[in-house]
Amino acid sequence: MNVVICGVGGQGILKTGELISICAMLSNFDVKKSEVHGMAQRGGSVITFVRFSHKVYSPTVPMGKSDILLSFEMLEALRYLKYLKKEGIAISSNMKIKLADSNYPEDIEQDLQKKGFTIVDCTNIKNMYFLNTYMTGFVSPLLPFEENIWLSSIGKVFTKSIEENKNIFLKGRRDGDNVYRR
Amino acid sequence: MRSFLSGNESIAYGSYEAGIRYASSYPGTPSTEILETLSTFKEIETEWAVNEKVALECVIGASLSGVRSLYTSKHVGLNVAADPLMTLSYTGVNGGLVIVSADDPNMHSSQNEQDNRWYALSAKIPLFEPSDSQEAYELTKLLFDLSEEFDTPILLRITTRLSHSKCVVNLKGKRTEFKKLYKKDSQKYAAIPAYARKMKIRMMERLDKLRDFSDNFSYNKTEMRSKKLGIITCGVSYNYAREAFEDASILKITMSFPLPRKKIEQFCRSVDKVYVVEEVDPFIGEQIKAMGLNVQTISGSFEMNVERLKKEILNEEIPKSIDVPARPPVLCPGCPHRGIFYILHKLKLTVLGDIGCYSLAVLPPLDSMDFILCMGAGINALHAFSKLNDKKAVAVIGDSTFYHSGITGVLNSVYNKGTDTIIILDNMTTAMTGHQPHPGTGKDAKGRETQKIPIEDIVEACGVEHIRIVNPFDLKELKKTTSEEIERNDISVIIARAPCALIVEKKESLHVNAEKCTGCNVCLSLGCPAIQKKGDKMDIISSLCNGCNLCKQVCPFGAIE
Repeated sequence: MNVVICGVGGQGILKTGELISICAMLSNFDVKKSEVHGMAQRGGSVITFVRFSHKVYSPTVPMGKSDILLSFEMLEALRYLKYLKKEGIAISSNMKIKLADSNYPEDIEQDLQKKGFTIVDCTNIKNMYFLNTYMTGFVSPLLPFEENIWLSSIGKVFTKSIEENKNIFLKGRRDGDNVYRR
Repeated sequence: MRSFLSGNESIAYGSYEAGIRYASSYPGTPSTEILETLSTFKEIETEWAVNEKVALECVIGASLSGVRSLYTSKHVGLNVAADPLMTLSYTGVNGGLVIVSADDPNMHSSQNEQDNRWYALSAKIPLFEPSDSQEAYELTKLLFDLSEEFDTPILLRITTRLSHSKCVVNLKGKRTEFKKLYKKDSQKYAAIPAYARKMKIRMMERLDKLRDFSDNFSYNKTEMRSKKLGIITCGVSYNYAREAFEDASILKITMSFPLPRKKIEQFCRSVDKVYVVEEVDPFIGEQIKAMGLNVQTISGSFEMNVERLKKEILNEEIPKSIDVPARPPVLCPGCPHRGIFYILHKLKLTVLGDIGCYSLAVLPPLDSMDFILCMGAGINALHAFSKLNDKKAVAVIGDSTFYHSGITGVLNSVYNKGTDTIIILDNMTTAMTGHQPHPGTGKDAKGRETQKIPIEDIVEACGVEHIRIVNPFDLKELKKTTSEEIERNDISVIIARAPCALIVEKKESLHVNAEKCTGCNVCLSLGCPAIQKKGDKMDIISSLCNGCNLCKQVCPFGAIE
């Protein structure tokens, strides 16, 4: 299974990749995760690949092969749509992080919906520090890991506010359930 | 023990289990986490050296003393350490010595994407390329044995996708201690011409033995499947080839210098068509062609991936991307570098820059750096530029970069009667690579207290008479100081000092008074990601704003409060 996670540097994309990967490892899959550090983290566009199966070779997801595209920002969702396979599932938060020196496409939300995205309303998340946990919870019904594996992985991956992260994850999971298990 | 580890962490664990006692490095993406991981082991003395040449020479000293030791750096770092490397190959080692070069195909965080495998060929030392974390871990452990067995330094070449990809690794977790005796042997270790000639003969004999070893090395592995398509590959590319062509026969090269020639010849005989797939240069491909074998090389520029391979071999189209405006990385909100570049842009100065976060000031709207080459180059290039061109110019260099290779430049400029204006951006850490300590911080790689060596003391000791220390958040002061020093007919150093915004607590955010804001866009010229246009007025995103007050200083209408 291939998951591509993207957004803007600072949104907790790498942590989400780590969380999904640890769940996959604890569920006895072979896992590979790939990301880029250094220059790419200074508010730029960020992408992480997570792949799990009985055996994984390439650390990166080939274009057009991702089962899930999970984006924390709408313009980035559009940028990395090329990774999603035809029948893949596309999810984006409704966050807009504008650009310094070019125009942000104003109608992006409708555009993403037309392209088949589920747009997740994140305006009610009080603290943006928890955006990634909520979004991970939202996508979690689509991933083959038990709830207790998710919760113990949160305890391993996060160093602070573990209980709060677990609660927000579970809220996201319920909201995701309503969309994907109806 | 089943662990989820990056390539960098795996190399650290492999080295730990191999019993290394010493490691030295200078931070550089994508190599940095190797030393950071090693610094957590109490059995290993780990050091951030001031630069890579120093690091390798220290590692050589550790090996000489009889312990196993590790050098790590990014690809361009090994250029700095190339001088000791070339003769180290002549002397050989005492305790096992491994050199890790983390190359950066596609230049994710580097100024070039040079292929450091050529160093192995040039220095005549064995070269290994693991393809994932598990193999990196196993190989690293083994390489210290080989280093001692063949009396040679070993080059372990990794790339960004190995360094920063995580895989499941089965760790043994058992460390074996090693310590050899130090015996004086100047014929082996003192490279005077008379001895070096004998060393050269031993080195060439060693190379012959390594050739035999490579042909019998189990990690150079042939996987026979279809006879129609054969792929010779190495490193991370093995994974792409394996995934793109499930039926292809593969010769996976793990020791890529000297090559397993017999295995290669045999492989080429047993398949109809052979491609050599590798990242960056056709290092293996060209050697195979020189053996007179008919192969096609797939390499050149940037990273390899499954799509690229399918395009090259099957002519399969790569899916088209949607045209989306770029989102390049920017200086963080509250970054102490922003003000200086805003002023340099205003003053229309020629700016010869250096390597660090501040290279982001090349891009608009700051658009204020003319030149970036390698660490330390800005100061030296300015020295000659100013002597030969009347254009007003300054050099800009960061604190860690100054300790790395700026000191010699200042010394040279004073000695050669330069009139340069050098601006040192002191954010009190090595920011770009993740906040490693340096000689100005008073901490070492293991977090222990050590002596602080202030930049101004060094600059003064180099003979600079005009040293100004400024607050980089005070635009008036920056402008006045820079304008004065640029006119001075003597060398001067301006130190702009304030801690990196990421290592201090976030300050209270500012906001825009919509009644006063005219939407004139002046504040946007600071390139701060916390300032955005909302309708025809400006808006400050309070969760991002770090209260640095620069926008307040540039706003002509006093609209930022």
